[in-house]
Amino acid sequence: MKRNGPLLTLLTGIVVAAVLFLLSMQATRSSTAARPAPAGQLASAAAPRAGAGVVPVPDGTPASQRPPGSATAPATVDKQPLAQRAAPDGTWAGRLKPGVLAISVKDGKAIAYLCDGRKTEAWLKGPARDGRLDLAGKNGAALTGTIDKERVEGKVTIAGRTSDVEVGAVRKPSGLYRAATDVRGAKLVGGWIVLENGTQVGLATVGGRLARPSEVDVTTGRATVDGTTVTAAPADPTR
Amino acid sequence: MQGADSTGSPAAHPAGYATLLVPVLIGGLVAITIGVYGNLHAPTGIGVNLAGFSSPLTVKVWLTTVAATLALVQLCSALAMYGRLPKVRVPSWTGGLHRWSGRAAFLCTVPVAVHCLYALGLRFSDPRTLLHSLAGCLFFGAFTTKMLLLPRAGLPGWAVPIAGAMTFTALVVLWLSSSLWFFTTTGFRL
Repeated sequence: MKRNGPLLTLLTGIVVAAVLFLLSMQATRSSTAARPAPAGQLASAAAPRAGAGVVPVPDGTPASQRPPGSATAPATVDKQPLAQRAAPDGTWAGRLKPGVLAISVKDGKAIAYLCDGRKTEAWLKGPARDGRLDLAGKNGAALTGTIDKERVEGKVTIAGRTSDVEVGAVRKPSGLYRAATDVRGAKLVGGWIVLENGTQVGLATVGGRLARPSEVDVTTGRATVDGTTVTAAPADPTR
Repeated sequence: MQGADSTGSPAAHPAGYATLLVPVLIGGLVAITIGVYGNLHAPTGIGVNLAGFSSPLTVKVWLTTVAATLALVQLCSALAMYGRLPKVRVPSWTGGLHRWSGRAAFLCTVPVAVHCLYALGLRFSDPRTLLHSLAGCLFFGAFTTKMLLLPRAGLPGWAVPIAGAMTFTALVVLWLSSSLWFFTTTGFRL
């Protein structure tokens, strides 16, 4: 056995790893810099770089989504200078009786999604300030409660029923993902909640009709709904 | 300098232990460094897609499976080289097979580890990811130690086999906690 064999093996591995890390860092940097607009979309240049977010691979779909903000930044990092007014940025998620709930907060605004993966879903939006959430959605859906950087507690009303809410903060790539696009003239909106144990719950509506999407790939944002590939991004409450 | 009898008892060859020290320390350092990096670095979720696979996740799952299969080749060839396969005639190229299958397995794991560390980081959120994170650190530490032990003379006879066994075990745990989980939850597919 040549004396150098093992050492060369190690060094080769280290070199390959170094190259891959550099490529990954480049991919991260170029994805969070100002993105060229895909056909028909106005991408916001210089998306606020508050920590690298999950970047969907841009594909040709005329998506009405923007580059992700810091919607899934770790909840322990408080980016708000006026912390006493707006709730901390972050994402909270967990299982409730009516389904799985995820809430994403950015700049004092929140977007939430409650979904049981089968037939119930609701998007809610509203302010997240002074430690309180006050969100509302279609058909009387509502979410109210207190919010701090570790958990959200309160009540959620969906389909006429009110249930307790207690969900904790989650870290990337767990969180809330949303895709909104047009498919052959029908509006497609999909939501996915990725929990920290790796499981996912999601639903989509296509032209008002419920559809069951595939799981979303958290590294690329890709998912399939009714045979159409869509790209989801971390839900952005400021959109 | 103590004799070249690598199967001598520890009491008669104290130098055997001393030569273990540096490789084991360096291996340990590698394991800890990987763990610390994985814990401190903010995961980016960025993945690289490879044509023909449904996602970066499946690329990793299959690379890990290839590595684990090569690890079985490693185990068998190691057993053969140490004469632990009675009644099997061991061909002269077994050593070469062991070395090259090992190198291939190791190189398969490197891109997987880079992606795991860079995009996902060290995770403790559930038993599976915790086990996977720890096994990943252990695997690279044990492999480093084994590579550093091999060129050394005067080692206790059990040193290289144990380093190899730890590497093998860590890789099996890695495969169980990722590829097997993927196959049984998402499906057996590319």
